[in-house]
Amino acid sequence: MYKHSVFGLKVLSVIELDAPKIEFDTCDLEIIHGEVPLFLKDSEGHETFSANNEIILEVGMVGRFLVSNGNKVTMSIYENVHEKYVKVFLDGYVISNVMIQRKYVPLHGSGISRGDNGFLVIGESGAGKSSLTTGLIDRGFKLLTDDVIVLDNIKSSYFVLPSFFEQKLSTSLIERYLLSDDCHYKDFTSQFGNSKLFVKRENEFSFNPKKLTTVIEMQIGEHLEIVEVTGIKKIEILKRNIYQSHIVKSLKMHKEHFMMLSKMAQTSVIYVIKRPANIDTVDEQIELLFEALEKRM
Amino acid sequence: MNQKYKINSSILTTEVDDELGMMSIEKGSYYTLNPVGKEVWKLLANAVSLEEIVGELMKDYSVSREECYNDISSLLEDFKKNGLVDIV
Repeated sequence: MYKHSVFGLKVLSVIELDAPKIEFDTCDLEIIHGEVPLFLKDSEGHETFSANNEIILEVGMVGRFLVSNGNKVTMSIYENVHEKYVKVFLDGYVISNVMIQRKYVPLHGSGISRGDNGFLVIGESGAGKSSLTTGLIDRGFKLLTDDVIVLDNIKSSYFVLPSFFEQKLSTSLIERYLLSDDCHYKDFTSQFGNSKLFVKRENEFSFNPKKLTTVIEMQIGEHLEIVEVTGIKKIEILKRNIYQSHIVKSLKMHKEHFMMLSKMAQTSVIYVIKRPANIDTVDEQIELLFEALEKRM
Repeated sequence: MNQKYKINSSILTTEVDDELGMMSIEKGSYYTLNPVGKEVWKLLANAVSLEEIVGELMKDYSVSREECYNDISSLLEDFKKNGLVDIV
């Protein structure tokens, strides 16, 4: 069994994860192979995929995962499926459900840091999150988490928690930042409907949580611009970037969401970066962001 | 006519950068208020009548009583329609 730290949890896993290794006696989360039932039964005896803080996640061509009480993942993997494909889903889809069961509200995007400050890059798919994140790492930022963001409330501040030291990137980004030579590839092929590759970022990883200071939402717009968002709109921006909001909603955690998103909005600066589609403007985006950050110092 | 209004207990309130926002847990929807709405909302923490709200606002705003009365009356209607306040 492998021992890792993921989003602050002590994880004991049958599969080695691309996450920091730590030592511990008792784990918070166990990842094992085992039988996964076809259905769960809800309180009225109906067959369902989600009941009593348990959820069954079906991943076509890979297998089925049962996530229970935020402390156990049971995997039933189809024959001849390589471990690396299992990891792809453990790292995002499955772990986010673990965190939801533990009453966290994951956001969709990446977490990076500069010094003691935590930054989030959020936005819809294709808005340019990965490009900006990779550009910022190239300029010395550290990676905390890719795809799923989990924040923890420590001493009335929100901290961005470190998870896996890998990024899912398109081949063009890998080529642009010459990552191919020193990075480990997992050929996560298009048969799974995703042409992104996994790149290890162990050397550019922040192993400690970082206090959230800045949120950047990427959007496609007419021309390149950065706008600081103030007031209640900040909550709306955070809300629309909740990871798999339909699952979170079904757990009826509205009050906790609102309190968390309010607190995040109150304690962070939020920028929207709009960029024109189909043009590489990453360097210009970074210049605009640095100018805005300097003005606040 | 002298009915009193009070914030519905299922409504959550927050303040971000001086802006007031509310959320209805039942509907999952968010609302924001302009500065006058914010004043009114603060008064609604306790059961108050339309008359009392108008009386309070007239101390700070130089508008005619009639104008103030009409504005607040329609604001309270909006609150009521969205389930933000109860008549108590």
